[in-house]
Parts: sequence; structure tokens; C-alpha cells
Amino acid sequence: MFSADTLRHLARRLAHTADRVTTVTERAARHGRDVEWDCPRGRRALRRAGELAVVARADADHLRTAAHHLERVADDLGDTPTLL
Amino acid sequence: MEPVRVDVAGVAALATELAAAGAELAAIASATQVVLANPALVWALSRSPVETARAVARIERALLGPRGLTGVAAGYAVLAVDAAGQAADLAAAEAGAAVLRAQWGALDTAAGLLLGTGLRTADLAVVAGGGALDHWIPQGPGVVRDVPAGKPLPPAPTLTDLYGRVGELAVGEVEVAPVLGADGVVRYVVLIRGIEPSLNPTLNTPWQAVKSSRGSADSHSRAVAEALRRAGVPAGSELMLVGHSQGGITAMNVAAAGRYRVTHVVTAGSPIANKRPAARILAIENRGDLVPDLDAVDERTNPQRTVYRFEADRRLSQAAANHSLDSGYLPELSDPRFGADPGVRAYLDSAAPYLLSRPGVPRRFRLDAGPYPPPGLR
Repeated sequence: MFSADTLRHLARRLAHTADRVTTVTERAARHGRDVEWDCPRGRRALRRAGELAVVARADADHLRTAAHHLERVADDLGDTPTLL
Repeated sequence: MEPVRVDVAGVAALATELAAAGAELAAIASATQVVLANPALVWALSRSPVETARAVARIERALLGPRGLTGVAAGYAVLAVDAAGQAADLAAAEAGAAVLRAQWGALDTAAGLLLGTGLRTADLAVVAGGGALDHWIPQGPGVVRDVPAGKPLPPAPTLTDLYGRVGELAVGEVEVAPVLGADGVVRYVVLIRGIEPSLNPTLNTPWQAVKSSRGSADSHSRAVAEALRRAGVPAGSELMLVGHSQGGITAMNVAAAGRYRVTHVVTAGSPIANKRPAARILAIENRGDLVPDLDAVDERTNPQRTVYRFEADRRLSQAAANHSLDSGYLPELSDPRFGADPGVRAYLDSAAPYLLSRPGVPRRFRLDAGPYPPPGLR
């Protein structure tokens, strides 16, 4: 049996996942900024780490947007449970 | 020359951090794929199709492709290995001590173990249980064309001979070899090559491997079945299928299809735990190869299935070499301990009608997906 609450639960899970992605990648990026790795290889690696953090942030945004869409679906459906 | 200023210990710690980030993002990606497979989404699609489809599309953009979380996780893993490698080089150079190099090598090993464990403990398979993923992978009808075959297999071929031949196949190729048993019966050995880590135009692609691992209605499995028909293999014939990587997955699909009497399947480096054909299975797994873990099942030997695992260098930087047929599997097949393993021995004894045989002239085919969507659906 599914209901709007099921979708809200999925939406919360996606939003939580998005926050987790942001936390993990920002922690790695901060760590990268703090470490002295001043040579071509290091600068290249840290630049790449920065790029990955940007991409991951965009992924997290997609997940948050997906969560909003699901919440909207849940609002449209109301709270009447439905048998599949 | 530019001066190099590097805090070696700091870079080593960063390598650990990057490896952990990669493993966590990989776990997040696989867990989020489970959301895609949630039946509530299917239910919601029927009631609010536009809004739900937008949500699904966003989730897929977050997960898939080189800019999806799975690709980002791989990017972190690569950076972790790079950082650990440079820290190791510099530390060894500064101290002149090989022991330090071994210490940093251990970090690389830890990253490999971490990733492998992450895959095995994923909520559902990263690939095999990916739920809705396979729905989006285009599937052509599967087409084959003849290509020049190699010479016949040697008399009484060994598994090393069979996998050596698999390694000689080009991308997208399959070989069908008739073998005459001591009992006068003609059987067939089918050799299927594995995935090519590039977006080549054949069926040996990562996406097709995902599709093959999810079910049996995929282009690769259909194309192998078509190759068997083209080779003139009569329905009901006894077959032994031998595959590496994706080839092993597809072998299991063909075995389950039922047109032929597939009595034996051998796989090397294939995530096949979720497939249950009636054939006797020998699954060979290099412990440093991450691919067999993609089904997220720690598979065990049972009366029908022999799982042979062997130890290897588990550093993350060796994962690709461990999956390679040439460097990750063929050396083990020639090692005396492989033939001495009781499970392997029993399996090879049961496969004697194929192995203690006289091989005939093989046929070789190149497999392609074919047009998608098929002309009738355009």
C-alpha cells in the first residue's frame, strides 16, 4: 500500500542524501586546501578535487530538486492510501 | 627546476580522506539507485506522470554518466591513489627506506579493501540490482556477422587454452567450437569475451554489461544466441560456455534461456551470484578484482556451483590489472594450486566430455547491438 507519506519519506531520504554528499565533498575539499602539496602533480590533483566537488554539488542539487518534485507529487495526491 | 614543497604526511592523510570520500559516494550512489527502483515511484508515475518523471530524471542526472555521483566517486578513488603514490615516492626518497614505501602501499591496499567491502555491503547491487537503471539502456535486436575464425583449439584443451582463446578475441567477438567427445557425441564450447572499458560501438560496453547483469532480455545475450544459430548448433545440443567479465554474465543468461542444453558454465571475474541457471558453474574470482563484487553478494560454493577465489595484490591501483584476463586470471589458471583444488578438480572431471575431446573447426562472429529503436518502432 502506498500513500503520499511514502513519497514524502523518499523525498526526505533524497534530501538527506544530498546533504551527505555536500558534507563529504566539502570535507575533502577543505582538507585539500589545508595540506601543503605545492608541486605540479599536487596542484593538478587539488584542482581536480575542486572540480569534483563542484560536480558533486550539482549532483546534490539534482537530488534536492528531485525531492521537491516528489513532495509536490505527494501534495497533489493528498493523504489517501492506495492499494497497488 | 621548480622547488617542490610537499607535506608528505599531510598528503598521505589527504589520500585516506579522498579514498574514504570515494567509498562513501559510491555507497550513496548505490543506495540512491534503490530509490529509483522503489515501487512507490512506479505507482506515483501512474498518478502524476509529469512531476514524477521530472523527479526520476533529476535522480538519474545525479547518479549516471561521468558527471554523476558514480563517476565522481571513481574520480576521488583515482585521486586517492595518486596522492598515496606521491607521498610514498617522496617519503621513500627522503628516507631512502623501502619500508616506508611498503607502508604507503598499505594505504593503497586499504583503499582497495574499503571499496571492495563497500560494494559487497551495498544495499542492493551497484550493477546487478540497479532496479530502474536497465529500463533506460537502449537495446537493439542483437546482430551478428561472420569474421575469420582462428585455428582449432588443441586436442584435449585445458581451461588455460580456452581462456587463452577468449583473450585472443577482438572486442564484440564470440567463438563457437564443436568438440568431438570420446563417446562420439559432438558438443560445443562457446567462448565469450568481456567488457571493453570504452564506449566502443559493439556490445562489450559498460552499459550493456549493466543490462546483461539485470536480466536476460539484453542485446548481448540475444546476439550470442543468434551466433549459435548462425553456427548451425542444433537446438538441444550440449554446450559449455566460457566467459570473462561481461562474457561470464552473458554466458549465464544464455544458459538460462533453455534453447540449448548448457551443462557447464565457467566465468572469470563476473558478478553472477544472482543468476541461477541449471548448469554446473565454476566461478573464478581474483580477490583483488572488484568486478565480481558488483552483485553485492558474497557467493559461496554449493553442490551446483564451485566458487574458486584466489589471493592477489589488493591495492586499488591494481584493480584494473586484477580484472584483466591476461594479468589477473590466466597466470592463476596455469598455477598448479588451481588444478589441485578439490572443487576445481571435481568440476573439470564433470566437464571431461568437453575437455577430453577433439575440437573441430570453430566459427567466429562479431556481435553488435543493431539499430535502436528497431525499424518497426520508429
